[in-house]
Amino acid sequence: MLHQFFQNQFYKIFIISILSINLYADELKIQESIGLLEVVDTLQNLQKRNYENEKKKFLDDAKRIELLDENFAEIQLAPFFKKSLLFLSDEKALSLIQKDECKFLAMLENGLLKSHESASDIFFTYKDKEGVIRSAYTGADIFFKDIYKSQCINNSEYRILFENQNINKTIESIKFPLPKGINDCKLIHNEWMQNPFTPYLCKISGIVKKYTPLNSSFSNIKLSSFQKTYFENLCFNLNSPKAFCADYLKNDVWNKVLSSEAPLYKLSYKCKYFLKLETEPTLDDLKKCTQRFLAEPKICQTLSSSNFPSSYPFLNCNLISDALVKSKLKTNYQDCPGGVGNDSIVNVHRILNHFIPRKIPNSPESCAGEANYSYAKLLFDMKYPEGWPLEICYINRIFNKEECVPYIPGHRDEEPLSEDLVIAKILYSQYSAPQKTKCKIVDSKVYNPLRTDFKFGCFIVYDPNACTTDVCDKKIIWEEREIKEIKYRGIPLVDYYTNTFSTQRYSFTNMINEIYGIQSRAVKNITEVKFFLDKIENGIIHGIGCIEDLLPELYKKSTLNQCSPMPFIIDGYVNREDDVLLSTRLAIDDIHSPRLIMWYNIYNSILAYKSLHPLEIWTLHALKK
Amino acid sequence: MRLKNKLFFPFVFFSLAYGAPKEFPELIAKQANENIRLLSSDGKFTYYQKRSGGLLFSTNYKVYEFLKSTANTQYTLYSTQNRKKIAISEYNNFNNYLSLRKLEKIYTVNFGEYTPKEIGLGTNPQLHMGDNWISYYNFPEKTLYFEHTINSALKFKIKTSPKINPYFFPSVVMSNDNTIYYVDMNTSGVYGLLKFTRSTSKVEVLHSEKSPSQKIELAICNSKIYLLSSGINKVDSGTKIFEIDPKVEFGKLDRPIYTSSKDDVGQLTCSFDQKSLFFIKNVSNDSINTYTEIAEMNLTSKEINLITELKTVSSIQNMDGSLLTFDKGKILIIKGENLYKNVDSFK
Repeated sequence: MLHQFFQNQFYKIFIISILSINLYADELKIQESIGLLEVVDTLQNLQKRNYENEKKKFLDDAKRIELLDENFAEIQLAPFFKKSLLFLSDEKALSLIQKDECKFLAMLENGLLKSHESASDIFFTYKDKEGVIRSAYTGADIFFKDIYKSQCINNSEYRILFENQNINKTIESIKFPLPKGINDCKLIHNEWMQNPFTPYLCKISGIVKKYTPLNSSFSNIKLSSFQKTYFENLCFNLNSPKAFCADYLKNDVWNKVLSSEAPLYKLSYKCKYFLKLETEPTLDDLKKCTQRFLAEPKICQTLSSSNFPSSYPFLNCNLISDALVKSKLKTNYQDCPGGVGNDSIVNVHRILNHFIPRKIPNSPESCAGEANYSYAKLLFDMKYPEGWPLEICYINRIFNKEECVPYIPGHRDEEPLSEDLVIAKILYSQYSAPQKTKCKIVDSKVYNPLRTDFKFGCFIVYDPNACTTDVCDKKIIWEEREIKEIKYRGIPLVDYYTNTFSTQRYSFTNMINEIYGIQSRAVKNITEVKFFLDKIENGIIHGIGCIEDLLPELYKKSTLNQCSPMPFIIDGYVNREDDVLLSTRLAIDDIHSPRLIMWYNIYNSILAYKSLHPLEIWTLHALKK
Repeated sequence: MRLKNKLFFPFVFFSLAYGAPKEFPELIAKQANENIRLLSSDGKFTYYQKRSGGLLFSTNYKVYEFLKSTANTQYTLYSTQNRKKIAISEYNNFNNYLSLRKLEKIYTVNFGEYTPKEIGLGTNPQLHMGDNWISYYNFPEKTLYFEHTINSALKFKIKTSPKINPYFFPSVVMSNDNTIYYVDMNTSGVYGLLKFTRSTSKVEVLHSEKSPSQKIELAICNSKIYLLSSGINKVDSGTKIFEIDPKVEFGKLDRPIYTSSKDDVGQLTCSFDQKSLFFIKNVSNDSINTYTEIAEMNLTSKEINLITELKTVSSIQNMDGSLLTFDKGKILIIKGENLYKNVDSFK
C-alpha cells in the first residue's frame, strides 16, 4: 500500500513539481534532510498556499456569473484551478482523461476530480464580446448546464441519460463484457477507457463516496450485485488493466462469487459452515473463506452442517469449484437429503426450485418437510390429491372409527395440511384442546418435559438422526401426555418418469410440463448433453441411473441386474483432456457439493436402469422452461 | 503380452498385461437378460423374474413361481461358491420409491431349489461361512443382523455407530461362527475395521483410516481376509490391499500385498476357486478422470494382471463362478464358459 502510495504521489509530484518547482525551490531549500513523507506533506502545503494566492489574485478580477450565455466564448478552466485538480486527483482518475477535454469536464462534473474547494464552484476564463479574456466563477450546476451548449455537446446528452429517471434504462442498455483471456481483458479495459459513459458509471459506483459529489445522488438506481462489483472493479482500476483483469481471470468459483460473476450462494453456505457463523457471512468473511479454500482445498472434503444430512465426504474445494463454476442449478437454500425417505423427492424439490424458485427457510426442522411440500404442492396444483399418500390417522370418538387426513411433514404457516396444524386440529376435535392450540415440532434432544417450556401445549417430538419423513417414530405430546392413538401412515411414491401408460399423466415429468410448462426431452449422448447445456441458459438435465454404476467406488454391483435407482441432476460440464466430467448432484448429495462424474458412468447407469424399467424408457432428459 | 513386471513391495510381484484389445462374449441366454437373476454354471436352472412381480425358478422345462409380489418389484439374488443357499432381496416399488435406505424383504432359498424362507427386513444380504449364515443391514436401525440359514434360532445383531453419512452401510465378513470383521464409520465419517466377538458381544477397533476420504472394503478368500484401503472422491491418496490371517493375532496394517498411487475403485471379489482376487483398478494417468479395468491378483504369487481392456469397468459380478461385467448396455462374460444358451435345456 505504502509503496503504491509513493508511486502515485511521486507520479504527481513529478508532473506538478516541474510546473511549480521554481516557485517552491527557495522554500524547500530552507529545510534540511527531510524524509519522503515530509516532502509530500510540504509539497501539498506549498501547493495549497500557492493555490490560495493564485485564487486570491484570480478573484480580484473575477465576477460571479449566474448564466453562461452566448456572451461567453472560449470558456476554459482557470489555470490555478486546473492545476489543483491535477495535483489532488487520483492517478486513476487522471488516467481516464487521456487528453480528452470533454472527458475532463465529465470527470469534474461527476465528482471524480478533487480540488481544494469545498464549495462546488468552478473557476474559469472566457473571452467576452470584445475579445477580452476575463475571469469568472459560478456554481457547478450552472457551469455544466450551460457549458455543454457550446462545448462537448455530447456530454449534455450523457447527462440526460444518467439522470435519475433514465439511469436504469441506460444501464440496462450497457453491456458489461467478461474477458476470456488476458488480451481480451486488456482490450475490454481499453474500451472502457475510451467509453464516454465511464465517468458517469464511476460516479454510480461506490468509488465516488470518497469524493464530494457535485451532482445530486441517484435515489432510484437498481444495480445487480454483478454490475455494482463490475463498476467498482473498473473504477478502482482505471489506471491498471492488470488489476482490473486479475479478478476476472481467476477461474475458481470462490473468486467469481467475490467479483459477482457467480451467485453468492455458491460460496455463502460453505463459508457459513466453515466459519461456524450464526448469521449470513459478510464480505470479509467471504474473502477469508476464499483464501482458506484456495490454500487448503482439503477443507471442503468434510465441510458440511451435520444438521442437514447428506452423503459424506465431498470432493476437495478445487474440484467442487470446478463443478460449481459450470453449475447452473439455482441452490439458494439448504436441503437435507438424509431426512427425506424417497430420493426422487429431493430431485423433484431441486428441479422445481430451479425453475420456479420460492423462499425456502433453511432450518434443520423444516428442510425435509420443504422437499415433501414441493412434491405435495405439485400434486395439489395438478388437482391430484390422491397421489399424496401421507396421512395422520386417529380414532373419531363420536363415530368410534378410524379416520385419516392428509398432511405434509413440517411446519408452514399458511398451509392447512402442515403436520403441526393437522395434529392441532385433531387435538381440538377429539381431545378437547383449545381451538387456538399450536403444535411445535421438536428435536428429541431438545424436548425436556421437566422444563416449563414443555409443560403445556402440544409437541411433536422426533429424533432427526433416526428419522426420515417416511420412517420415523414420532411422539405426539399434549399437556405432558403422549397421544398414542394418533398415527402416521403412508410413504410418498413418485412416478418420476412414466412407469405405466395408465398413470402417465401423473408422472413428475408430465406434471411439470402440464402445470409449469417445463419441457423435457431425452438426451442420449454426450454431444447432445454438451450442446443443451451450452445453448439453453437455464437448462438442466435430470435422470435416474443405477448408483452402482454412478459411484462404483462406494456401491458395489456384485450380482446380475443389481441396481439401486438414483435420481440425479447434471447442470454443467468440464472438459478434461479427452474426456468430459459432468457436474452432477445425486439426490443423496449435499446441494452445495456437486460431484464430477465421467460420462461413461452416467451412460452405464442409465442403460442399466433402462433395462429394468417397466417401459424400458431412456431416463436422461434435458429440462427447459 | 506382459510388458512390465515391477517389484512394488518386498514379496509383492505386480505386473500389468497389455496387448491387443480383448473381446469378451456377451451374455446371451434364452431369457431376456434383464429378467435373469441367476444362471447356474452347469446349465441346469435359471432364476428369473417377471415384471408383474413374480420370481420364478425354471429347470427341465418346468417353471415355478415361488415369490409373488406387486408389479414393479425387483429381486436380486446373491450366491457363493458354496452353492448351498441363495440370498434374495425383494424390493417393492422399485420404480417409484427410489431409496438407498429402503427396507427390502430378505429371503433365503436352497441353491437350485425354490422354497423360500423369509429372514427379515433390510438391504445388502450376504452369505457367510459356507452359506451357513446370512447377514443384512437395516438402515433405519443402523443394525447388522445375522441369522443361521439352517437353524434360525441362532441369530445375533451388531448395532453400528451413528453416522454423519446416512447412506453408509458396512462391508462385513465372518471368519468363523464366533468372529465377525466389519467396516464401520465413526461420527466424524472416518472408516474403521472392527472385530465383533459373538460369544462376548465385544467390539474391538482394529484399524482406522486417517481421513473420511479413505474407504475400506473387505473380502474373504480361502479363509484369509483381504482389506482394501483406497481414496474416494478423487483425493488421489492411493490404494493398498492387505492380507489378514484371522488365526493370527491382528497386528498393525503395515505390509500391503498391493499398492498403487491411484485411487482404485475396489469391489474386491474372490474367485470361486479361491485362488484369485479380482478388483477394479484405476488405470488413468490423471487423478480426476477415472479409467478402470478389472485386475486379477493371484493369491499365491500376488502377481496382478489386468484382464479387461474396456477402460470403463464399473462392476464385477460373480454369477455362480462366471465373472461378468456390465458395460455400455451389455453384460460381458469376463471369465467362465459361455454356455448359457443351453441353460434350461432338457438333460
